[in-house]
Amino acid sequence: MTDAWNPGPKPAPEDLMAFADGELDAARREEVAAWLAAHPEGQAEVEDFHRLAGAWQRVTPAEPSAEQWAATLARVEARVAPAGPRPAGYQRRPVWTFAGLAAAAVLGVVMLSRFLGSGTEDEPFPVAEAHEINIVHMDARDADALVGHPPLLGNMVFADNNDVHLVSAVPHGGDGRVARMEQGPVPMIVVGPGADPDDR
Amino acid sequence: MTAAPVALPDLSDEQLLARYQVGEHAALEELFRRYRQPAYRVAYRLLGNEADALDAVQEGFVKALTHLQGFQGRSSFKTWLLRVVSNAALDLGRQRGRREALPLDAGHNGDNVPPQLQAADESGRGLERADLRAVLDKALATLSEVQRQTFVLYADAGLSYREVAEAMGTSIGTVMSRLYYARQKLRAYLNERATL
Repeated sequence: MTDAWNPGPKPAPEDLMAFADGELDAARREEVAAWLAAHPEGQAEVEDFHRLAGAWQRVTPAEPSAEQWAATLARVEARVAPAGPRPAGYQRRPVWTFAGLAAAAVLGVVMLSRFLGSGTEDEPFPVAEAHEINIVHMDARDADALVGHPPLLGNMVFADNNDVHLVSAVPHGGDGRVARMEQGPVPMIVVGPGADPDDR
Repeated sequence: MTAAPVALPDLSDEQLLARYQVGEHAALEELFRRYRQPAYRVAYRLLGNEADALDAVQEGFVKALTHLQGFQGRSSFKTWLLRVVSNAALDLGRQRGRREALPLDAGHNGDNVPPQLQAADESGRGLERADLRAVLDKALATLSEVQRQTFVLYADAGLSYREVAEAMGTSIGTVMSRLYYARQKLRAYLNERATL
């Protein structure tokens, strides 16, 4: 139990701050208040928090005008419009439509993987390749139902060492780190850190 | 006999969002009216001027409304929105750099002083306020980004510790720690300049 005669240990600085902010629960607030009653010097810390809060509140930014609010709202509405009002007669596609499509897709993957005996657990068997799908039209509101990969995934590999036969290399630029390479008449630029000088 | 329609201001955020999602634009307007002020205050503190703050508010509302699945079931719309607005403000600040506040802080030389500040200046308080704002802005800039965001969400958006924790996706203990050290830095900066 804590009271003015037995105020307990000094509260953590964060607790004094929370006391000043009125953020402590009733029990903890009572404990801190008891400690402060017995240690008036602690009250200075609490006052410091109040002073800072007061200074902060004195320079609360003025509100924009009604016209500025209206213009901002209009811009928000214009940008979120595709997700906004449905055209007259629009009927939201029932959830079971997507559930049915998903179930059919899962069933198809399972059947195809058994039939072909290929694929691994880490790599889902592709139902269709990207080039086999042509999205003619899609309502933006249905974008959440779209599953797929971005066109580029992972590192892009132009060529590996076996594809390149170095005929000559000359320093390019001041740092000599990027070499301009020539293979026959076709100039090539190698993208990367370049050869280590010790390897030359 | 049918029940009287419920006025939009009486609806919860969740009810308004449900109406917005089926195309009721008045619901969007009510949500905007409800949270534009705390959103603006947060953005203004992080960016330092009105035009950029309004851009951040716009960006924040758009992102929050087009990514509603990001908050559903995990936080309130209010904390989600204010987090998105504060992130938008920080992004904008990184892109544009923090510009000095206009027009209120432009009155140091006595020219181009807006009318509301001229009136305040007659008592000397307007200029003091502009000076204080400039010092507080500089003090805020000494904080780390995460400290600044935490402090502004608490001090300017009026969120409780618990709501700030929810908005930042962290614990109340972490919020308290960030707030404490943020205030220590602010106090040190202001005390050095005898502002407090």
